[in-house]
Amino acid sequence: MAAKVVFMFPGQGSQYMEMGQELYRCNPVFRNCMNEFSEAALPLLGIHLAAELFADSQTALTEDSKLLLYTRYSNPLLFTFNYAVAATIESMGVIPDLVLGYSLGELTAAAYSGAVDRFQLLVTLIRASFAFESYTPVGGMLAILDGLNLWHQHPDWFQDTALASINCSQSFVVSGRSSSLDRLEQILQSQSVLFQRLPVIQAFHSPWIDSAQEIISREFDRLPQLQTGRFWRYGCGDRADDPQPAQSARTFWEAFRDPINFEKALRGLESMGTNLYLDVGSNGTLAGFVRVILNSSSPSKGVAVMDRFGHNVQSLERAINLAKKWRSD
Amino acid sequence: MNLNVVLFPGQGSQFCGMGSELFPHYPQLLQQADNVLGFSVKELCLHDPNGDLSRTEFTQIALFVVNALAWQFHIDSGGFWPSAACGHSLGEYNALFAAGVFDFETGLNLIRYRGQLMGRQQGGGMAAVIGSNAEKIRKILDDFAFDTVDIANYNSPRQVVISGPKRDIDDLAAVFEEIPDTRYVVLNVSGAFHSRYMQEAAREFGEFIRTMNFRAPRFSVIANTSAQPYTLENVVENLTQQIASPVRWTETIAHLCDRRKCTFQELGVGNTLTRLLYQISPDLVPEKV
Repeated sequence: MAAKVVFMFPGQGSQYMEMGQELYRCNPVFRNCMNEFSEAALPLLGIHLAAELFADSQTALTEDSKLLLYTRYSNPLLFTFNYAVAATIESMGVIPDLVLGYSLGELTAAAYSGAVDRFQLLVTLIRASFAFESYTPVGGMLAILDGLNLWHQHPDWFQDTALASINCSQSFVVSGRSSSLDRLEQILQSQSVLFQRLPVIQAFHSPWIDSAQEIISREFDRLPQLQTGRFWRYGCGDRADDPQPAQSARTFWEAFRDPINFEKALRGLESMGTNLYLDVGSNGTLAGFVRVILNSSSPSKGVAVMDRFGHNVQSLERAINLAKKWRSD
Repeated sequence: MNLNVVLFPGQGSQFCGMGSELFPHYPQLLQQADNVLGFSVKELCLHDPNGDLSRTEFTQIALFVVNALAWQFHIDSGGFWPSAACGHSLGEYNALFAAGVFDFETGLNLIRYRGQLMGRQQGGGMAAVIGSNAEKIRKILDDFAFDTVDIANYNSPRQVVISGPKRDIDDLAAVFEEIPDTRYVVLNVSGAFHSRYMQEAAREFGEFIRTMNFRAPRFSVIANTSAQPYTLENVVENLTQQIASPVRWTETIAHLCDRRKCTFQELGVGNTLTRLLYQISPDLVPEKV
């Protein structure tokens, strides 16, 4: 089977201020896409996402931390950003064979593949984000840069938290109320375990968001029947043995609620052939997981389209050249 | 520009049985409320088994929950997304909740404490004076030496609520009986809300909310005390002052209608505010709202 190109759409936690700034300045496709989504979100949010993301602190209406932290902003911001990156890559001649969505990325991937109107989904996502903020307790997510065996061997450390995500052999994420995560951070620090608090204030992928389920599933249920879309879509929810394309809008709730198993999803895709995995996120985290998961003999490859060092145009071109070469090989 | 505004009523709108049409849609939200409060809000609203519904510490919670469900139902059933909101007294909490200033649980905790503080002050009363404007009423109060009584609500150009010691509120019935075209109705409340007698409650409430985290409103919310928009910076001050200051409802509506056409929708229990609107709006909004 021919080698495929997979676009990977990341979820919460990958955002930072001024991400994609160079691209926004230099690439009209990216800029137009960011602006178009920002304008569609404006009536509900009261702020222009792109303007806020790239504003200097003098002109910004929203403090940086809040733009990145509050679910009402961060969800539509990531949706917008990752969609815009994918659209930019496509405009430069690389079209994916299939798309893989991680958490919120399942929604972005669905919109990008045309399964649902992108503006309609954006508005629904914002309204769902309002419901997350209104009806779920303030919580958080903590990425632990170590093996999952810690979780199994030390249930006492992880008291009152839930396993939110298995990323790869060196990374998993737990969710919980802030106080439980604060406690866990102290323990991990004393044990010299590396961890990272994600910029998130809801305990996604855990029972602590269930109080919003009736509101949010209803929100998604109002979307029209999903279309097949241009690409096969896969999610990372730990709900089936094989990665399964997200069929109905109801699975959008599950995208936020079900525990993630990225490793399993990736192995599923690997079993189907050789792939080039392009991480359309802002920091290449998913590409990093892919490199850990793939063993050295695998011909597949994980590539970041963007990193935190700001040379967006250059790194984007590098990824695109690689993908084109991959296709022609 | 047309402005879509949602309005939330406050105390006085409650009745036993309220919310019955909303509760079946939101079992999870009700469960969340019950977990915070430690009792069944649904039971309180539908059957009032202990006769608590008229006690302000329960009235406020019950109204907040039913108003909040009505807001959610409005959104869920395809109702317009507002560009502004305001609420009368307790209803202001629903306006702020709708605007995302605090979450549902925080709202319940705020209301519970507010109700407890306001319920602690005994010996106060309130009355509605209908048919006269605030200036005339203030003059009557001064002429008859009722300087113990404050104006608590400027509800419409012809409806004002006064607040003060129970004895004085009762005595004033005889005074207003003599004023032509004026109706005087003593309200069934347990305290002198929105008056100087609530200052201690306001102070304690201010202590309580000073350390809490709020978020900027995602649409305009007009404050009762100032008739000006809320900002993240004035949430604590407005909510604290509101307890012991008058509700400037007429001005609030006037602020919204200033050089704009407004479409109002009252959400929650009853239609008190819609009726007030008709009293206020003919002057403010020439075309039908």
